[in-house]
Amino acid sequence: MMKLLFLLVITGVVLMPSAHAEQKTIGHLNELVRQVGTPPCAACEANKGSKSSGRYKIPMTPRSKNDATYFNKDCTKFIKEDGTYGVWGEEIETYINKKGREDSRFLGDHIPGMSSAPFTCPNWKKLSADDRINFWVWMIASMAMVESTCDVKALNVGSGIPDRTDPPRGLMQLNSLKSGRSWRGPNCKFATNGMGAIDQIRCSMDIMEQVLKGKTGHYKSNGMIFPTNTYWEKLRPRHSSNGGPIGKLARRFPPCGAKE
Amino acid sequence: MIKRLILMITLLIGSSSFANENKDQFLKLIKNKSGEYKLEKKSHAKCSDGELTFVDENQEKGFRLGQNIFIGPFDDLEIEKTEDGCKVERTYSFQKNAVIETVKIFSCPDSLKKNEAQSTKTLSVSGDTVSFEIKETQFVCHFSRGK
Repeated sequence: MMKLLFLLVITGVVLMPSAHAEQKTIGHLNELVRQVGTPPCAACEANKGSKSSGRYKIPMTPRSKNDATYFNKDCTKFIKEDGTYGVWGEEIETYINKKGREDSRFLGDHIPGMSSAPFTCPNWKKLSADDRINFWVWMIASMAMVESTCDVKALNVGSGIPDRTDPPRGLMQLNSLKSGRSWRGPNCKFATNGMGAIDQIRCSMDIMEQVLKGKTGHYKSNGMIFPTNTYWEKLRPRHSSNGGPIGKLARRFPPCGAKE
Repeated sequence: MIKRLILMITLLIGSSSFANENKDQFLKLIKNKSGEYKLEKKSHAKCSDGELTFVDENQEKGFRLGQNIFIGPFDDLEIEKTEDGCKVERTYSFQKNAVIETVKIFSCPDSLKKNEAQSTKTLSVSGDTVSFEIKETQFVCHFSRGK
């Protein structure tokens, strides 16, 4: 009996450090995996090099009486009626190219919320780099449509505005005050009351890049384009779980195969 | 006359250093109180939970609370000419536990006179609560530090 007890104690003494060491090793391995990042996506690599699947026109008429998911004519400066990029769309493409194109966050394989909930773009991982850029042009156009109906002169001075010196302004309804938005990104330092569409788009892309950075970005967000902690109220979780009217428009990008 | 001049200069230097001391103390307080804050009471949909944090290592660049409350920057205080021809001026008044930011849009062209405005924003800290108010619109947000 005593021998059995002694054996059990010795076994425990021998195994416990091993169990502890095993836990430590597992913890260390997990940390290494986290540092390496998400696993490569073989299908993504194959598809990124392929060409665009086509040119997609933005819908400009409602499909029914209550359908609000269409763009007005001013939004053709993002995507023209033949599906090619307008001057604003070209600006977005240039921005992403300058950020490294396939190596930029905008074209990352694993952007949360694309092929996972809320399934903004289920086919994301199958899209070519060209199609992913096309998605971003469509996405920013969707934001502009909801924020300003693509009107570069839009100025929100309604009675509900908290700060009359800093009303939301322009294509993307950014801060009027330069001081109020300069911290958001290097392209957000344009003059107070600036209405230039290109300035608004570049600053918005700066903001979006910070959102995509997730916890390491300015906003310490979840890395999703929506719903997330971001400048635009309509993309925040309290407003909607799937991007609200902006999400509805974004999901109409045909290559994504999203359910509206 | 000279005595009065000396007295004025002394008072001026004194109040300036007092103001700087308040600013330093307040920015130190914000640094200590940085973190996540939950909304307690609100008057507007734009009040929302968020992080209280400086936007840069250089504290002069200002700090924010959530997405839409930003105070600063505290440098670069020259009167700015806006793109549409108005002028904008920002001034700051610091207390040990509060800052008041006053923004004035003025001297607009005749066609834009309606855009002239002033906003007086106060952000104050009391224990683990932060309050933000814009006087002209009675916009008020109260926050408490998240756990």
